Amino acid sequence: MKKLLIMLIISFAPALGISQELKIVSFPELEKLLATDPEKPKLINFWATWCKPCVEELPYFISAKEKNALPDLQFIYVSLDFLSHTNKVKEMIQRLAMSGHLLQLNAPGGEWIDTIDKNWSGAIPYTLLILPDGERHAAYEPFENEAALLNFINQKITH
Amino acid sequence: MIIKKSMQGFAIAVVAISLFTSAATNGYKIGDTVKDFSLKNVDNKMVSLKDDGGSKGCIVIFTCNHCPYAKAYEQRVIALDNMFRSKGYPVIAINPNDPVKVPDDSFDNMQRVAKEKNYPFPYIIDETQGIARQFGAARTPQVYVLTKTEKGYDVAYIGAIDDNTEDAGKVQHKYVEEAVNALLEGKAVSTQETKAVGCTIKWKV
Repeated sequence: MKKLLIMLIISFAPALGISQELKIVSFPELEKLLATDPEKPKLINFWATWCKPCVEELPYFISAKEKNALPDLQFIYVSLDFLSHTNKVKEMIQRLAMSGHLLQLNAPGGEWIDTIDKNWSGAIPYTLLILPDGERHAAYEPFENEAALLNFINQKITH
Repeated sequence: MIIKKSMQGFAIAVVAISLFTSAATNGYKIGDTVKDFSLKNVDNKMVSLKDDGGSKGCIVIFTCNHCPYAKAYEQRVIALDNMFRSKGYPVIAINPNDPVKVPDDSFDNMQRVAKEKNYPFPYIIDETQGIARQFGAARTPQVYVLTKTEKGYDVAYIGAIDDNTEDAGKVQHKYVEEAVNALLEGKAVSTQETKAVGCTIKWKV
């Protein structure tokens, strides 16, 4: 019964307005969050509410997380929306029932992009997988479906 | 011994860096001479560097209609053309996006936007996406400042228009303006490459 109640709360959480909190971070703060974790791999997705291919691929991430196929994997979402659009980001988080580390980056310029990945142009969506051994793998184009995302993660994690 | 070791480290670093850059960039680099193009403008006339590039250079901008980051810069791109066309550095805007993927970026919609915003510069369509690939453009908006030399138009700057997309009032570095001003004064461009958040170019499948 208790379990059922919890399940109910979780499934209605978005409708109730209970959602994971969005945190606005500076680039140095983001860098700390992206440091290699020797225990758990991290999957970081850079997106924005205005970016159609980003919003289209987000459900694949959410579904992959819900299925918990990779319980150790940490999901980090970094919105690159304008700071004046924080409300739009919050709305999208609620609408899609996103969970994980929900961040919005406060960095108006692009000097930080090379620090994340020299091969990244700054175009979004962009997804980065950081393995416990420090190895980094990037996806520069949106994922076409959930299978493509899982494939990207699994190939790197289990190799 | 210490010297030898550090030399070894240096050699490894050099190899690593060169591997990295060769993997990173396809397309033009700073100093490269650009091959001319001929693309259709919103007025249906063909535009090329030979005919429409400036007497001193050209500000080539890959941009589009739909991308909010491109939209945020519309007025600033117009301002660049107003500032530099008469000085020999006109703007040429190129839309490289596949209109099948993004109907907003169709030629008809380019004509509409150019009219609505009163674009004082050519806004041309890269239908085959061959020019975007030739340049190595990856996102919109992305700027290539070209300067005219005896070889042709050479790349002098690649990157963002400035360092604040959201708020033009809070810009600290007007990268393109600074680059063109330096070139006009015969000085070296101090910041030759920058990056910015933008929309991916929507490639044809």
